[in-house]
Amino acid sequence: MRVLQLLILTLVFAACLLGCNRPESTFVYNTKTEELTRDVGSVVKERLDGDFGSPKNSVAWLRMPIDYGTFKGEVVEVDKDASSVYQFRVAFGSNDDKETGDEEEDAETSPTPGEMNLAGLAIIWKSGDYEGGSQIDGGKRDGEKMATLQVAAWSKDEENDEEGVLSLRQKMDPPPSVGDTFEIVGHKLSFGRQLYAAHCQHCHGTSGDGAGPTAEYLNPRPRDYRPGKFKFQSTLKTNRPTDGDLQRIITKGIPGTYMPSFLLLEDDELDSIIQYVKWLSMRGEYEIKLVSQLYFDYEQVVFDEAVESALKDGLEEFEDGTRDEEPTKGSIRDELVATANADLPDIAEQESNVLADAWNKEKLESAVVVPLVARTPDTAESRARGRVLYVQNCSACHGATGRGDGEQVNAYMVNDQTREKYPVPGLFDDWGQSIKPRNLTRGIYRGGRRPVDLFRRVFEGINGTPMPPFKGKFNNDKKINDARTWDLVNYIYHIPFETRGKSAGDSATKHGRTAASTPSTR
Amino acid sequence: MRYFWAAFFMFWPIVAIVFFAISPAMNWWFPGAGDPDSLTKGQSMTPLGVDIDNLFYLILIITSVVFVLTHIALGYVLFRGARDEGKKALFSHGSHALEVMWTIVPTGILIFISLYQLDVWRKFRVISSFPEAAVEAPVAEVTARQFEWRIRYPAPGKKLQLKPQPDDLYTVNDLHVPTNRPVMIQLRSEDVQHSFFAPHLRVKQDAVPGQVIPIWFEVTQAGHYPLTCAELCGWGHYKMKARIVAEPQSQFGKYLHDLQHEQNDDGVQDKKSDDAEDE
Repeated sequence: MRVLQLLILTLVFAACLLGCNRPESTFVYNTKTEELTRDVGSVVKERLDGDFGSPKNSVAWLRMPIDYGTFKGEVVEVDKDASSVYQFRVAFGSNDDKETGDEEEDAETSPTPGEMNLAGLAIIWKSGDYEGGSQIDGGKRDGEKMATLQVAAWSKDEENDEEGVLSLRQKMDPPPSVGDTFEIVGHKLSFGRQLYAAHCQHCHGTSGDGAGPTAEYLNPRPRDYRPGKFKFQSTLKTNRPTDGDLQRIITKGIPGTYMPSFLLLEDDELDSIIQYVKWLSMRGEYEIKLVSQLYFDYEQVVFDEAVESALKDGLEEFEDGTRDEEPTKGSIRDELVATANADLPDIAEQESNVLADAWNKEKLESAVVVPLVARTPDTAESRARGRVLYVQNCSACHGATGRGDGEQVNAYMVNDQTREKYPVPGLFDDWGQSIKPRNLTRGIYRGGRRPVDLFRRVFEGINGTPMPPFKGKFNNDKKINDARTWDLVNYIYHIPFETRGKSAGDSATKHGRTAASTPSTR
Repeated sequence: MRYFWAAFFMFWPIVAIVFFAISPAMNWWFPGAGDPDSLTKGQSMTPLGVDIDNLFYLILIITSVVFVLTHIALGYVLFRGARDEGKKALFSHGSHALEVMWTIVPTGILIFISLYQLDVWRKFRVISSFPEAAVEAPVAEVTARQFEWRIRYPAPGKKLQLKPQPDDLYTVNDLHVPTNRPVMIQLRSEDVQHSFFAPHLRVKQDAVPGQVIPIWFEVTQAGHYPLTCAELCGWGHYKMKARIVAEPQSQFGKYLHDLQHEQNDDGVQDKKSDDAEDE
């Protein structure tokens, strides 16, 4: 008895001492990255972590067109006698000028440095001895990229939000001089991360892979941002969404799915989350792009074969005398890995430029789909024309009566990537999830219910899904095509209010309906 | 230690009184009671809510008085027993008169409370007692779903129908209502049980799947009021925060008009109206 008591006491004591470990929040890598041969994989991971960092230590990579949030400041007081300093007094100037972001951003709602936790953010010197340097070791690294480990703490004056003492994590030797200006970059990224962790992460995952702990209970699954594909956007299908599109989805939610509305977020919170989601998406796509360039040669199985055959060639060359040293498996492997390592910087350079260009704000704004003609008045004639288009173009998936039960639902779809048929009938999206054509009789429109939303869905299709774009399909003349699209939109709006018997009677018989699409069976 | 139990039972009424005395300052009272800057200052923003508050105060006073008095009596008995150490206890079979009294008095109080609150309950819950103007034209249909509030208004100048109409207006987590007139909301649930809870308006009503439950309130002061879910409805229960925006009738009309304009956006109309200044 005594022994048992002692044991329990010891265990309790030990548990108190050790405590519970908080799970470390980390980014996960793609399965394809993990399939690379280890040496190459680790170099890719290193590159990725260097460019984007970790969730706790995110890097504001200035090459990416993200509004990381900037506070401009000036050194106002330094300890003159010290040969090196950790901290100095600073004053932040007016931050509501155009540098910080959108024109819509209200000076009142944009945060002041006093409200933000600046710890961990990067500091870029804009004038003085350190000008151009992001590192306090004198700007040895390029000014574009920076580890966000710079500011250690920021204690603002009690009565003033814009002035206070800034402490750095590394020593400045020599100290900066009074009047040196700098920018502290990345408060939106760190604020966005906090908000993302509170509101989004449990579904969308730390890495934005749509695999958070609550994700498995949801149908449809939360979006995986990593491929850089977003379903409901105002831009052309090949483009990324604008900030406004992401904002719409976050504030309005997606009816018919588990994405709820986050309307009550403050404007600056919303903005920070949008920037963080974009950043996550870019990180994911950057990884995919890097790996896809290397995967063909360095996937573990392929690589092993390549090593074998190179070894064979090498041994032959050695016997012929064209090669000086006798190659071993290890030396061949090192040679091949060295080639990959040498190629990687160029690949990274190229792919990051492609990515930055894809998210370029001006480019996205010019890619917004705007109908050429105003909506056709919602008349019976317009709907009738729309009905004809519907039967010709949409009913294969959405069904003759719009219930989402067209014959394609029972067909076997071919996987775009593997060129093989899926094992079960039905439609699949680019994330490999089974999806259903929308039941249009319910009047629930996921991408928004404004006419322009429906127009864009029809015109550009839905990114990542089998819903194809119908631009130019209805007429060669662009204006007439848009007018026809409006006819179709008018009809789609009308579907929930159609009297069932009538619509099934007059057209379904003409256009070979299947048993499943007969309204009476449901 | 002689007086421990006497002191023990005297301690609790003091705790209770202190607790209620500091509650408003600690923000444990009605929302906004401890905050001089708040819009509501702990007051209900609906006339019926004031009646509900009065009921609450009445019951609080009755129970407090009973609680304090019984504890004083109990403490006194214990104190007497502890003080008069040598005194022999008295054995009693009880007093018929006393028992009748302590049965009839609480019964009377409970019957009084149950009858007295009926009127407020009737106004709050019985649809035939709802203000006629509100029943005539419900302002909106609020559908709770995991995890948000979806709202459907009739088009301006039209009446809310039970089934969705082509010209209905939709919003989410943003319920606008006119002030200074009774408004009725049709409450639905799309999935599980939720509860429509507007603490500043003293409105709380479960939303039950398959049922349309009418609720009404009259907001007397324009402003933004929180709307939350008060029924644990799933893992995202805490996300079900929305706002009720109470505004004067004219602004409410303008809001609906703007909403209609936004909902009819065909991507072209606003560009045109910039030129032609119509709309």
